[in-house]
Amino acid sequence: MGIHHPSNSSNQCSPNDSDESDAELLARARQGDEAAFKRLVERYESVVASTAIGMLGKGDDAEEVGQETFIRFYQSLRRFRAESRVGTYLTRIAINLSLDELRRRKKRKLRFWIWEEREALPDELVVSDEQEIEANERKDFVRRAIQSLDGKHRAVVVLRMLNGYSTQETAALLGIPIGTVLSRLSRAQEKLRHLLSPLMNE
Amino acid sequence: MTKTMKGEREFLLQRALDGVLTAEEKRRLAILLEESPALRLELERARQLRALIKECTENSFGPFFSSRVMSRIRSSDAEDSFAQALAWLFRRVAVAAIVLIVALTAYNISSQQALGNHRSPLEAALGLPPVTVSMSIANLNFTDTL
Repeated sequence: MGIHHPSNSSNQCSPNDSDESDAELLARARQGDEAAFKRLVERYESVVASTAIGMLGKGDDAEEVGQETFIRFYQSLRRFRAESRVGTYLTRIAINLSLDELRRRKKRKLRFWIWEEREALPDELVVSDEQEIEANERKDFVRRAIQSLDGKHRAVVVLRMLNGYSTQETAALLGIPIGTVLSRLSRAQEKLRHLLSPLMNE
Repeated sequence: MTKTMKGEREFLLQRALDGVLTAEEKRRLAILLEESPALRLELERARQLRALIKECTENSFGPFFSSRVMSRIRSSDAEDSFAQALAWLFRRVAVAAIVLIVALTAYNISSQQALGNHRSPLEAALGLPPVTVSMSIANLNFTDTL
């Protein structure tokens, strides 16, 4: 199934943000031009960041996944062909690495019974009417609500709602049927609506 | 509501949120929305939720991310070239060792044949002296223990 990078996402680079196209930068990077590859990293940082931070929360793990995504891309430059677009290719690597990291976290937790040092996830978000929620707090609440979803539901939310991929593209990226994407999304939305209801105009 | 109807409703809602409804799907969704205020509310909530999540997207790893990536790539390149140098050296040592082993084996076999010794192929290849249980016992000196 062909995947096209979503055009409606604010994360995406516009074709006009650089004089050089991806194909030109890729050709130069393949010949060992570091500056060209660095330009690609700058161009696609937002795509990878929204995926990794959406999946893992802001922090060292997300940064590590972000770096590893570009390193793997660099190592596969010669094999990379334009069947899938750069953004889609990077998203696929980032989402797989993030899911691996979530599995590792789960194993660590099960094996050692260690409660990782992180903020407790909300069961419910309590906001009084008078309280004005600052932009940063809103971000934090939303981030924590997404983090409260389990990995497979989170991946669907990140790809569909953060990165703006369509249902079909999400299914192709995760290698699952479209019906599964829809049911996971529906369940995830239900939970998010409950958690984020204080931030939404009912 | 049957599972199929719910599935279709969900499918149409998601297509509407993606903005990719066909004319026929638009017509079907319009009928469903007309019939169900609950569905209208659901669509509105889904739009709100999507907008809220979208507005909170983190799009950056912080300043100098690309420099950090390039620095990692350079150091992994250096590690790779060290590993490649080791592999190059190892291949040559391994080839030399194999040649030596084959030469020693050939020498052992040919010298055993020249001496006319009848041994198993393994003993001949390894150049082992003939050893049997009875020969071992015969060579034991029990006088010290008596």
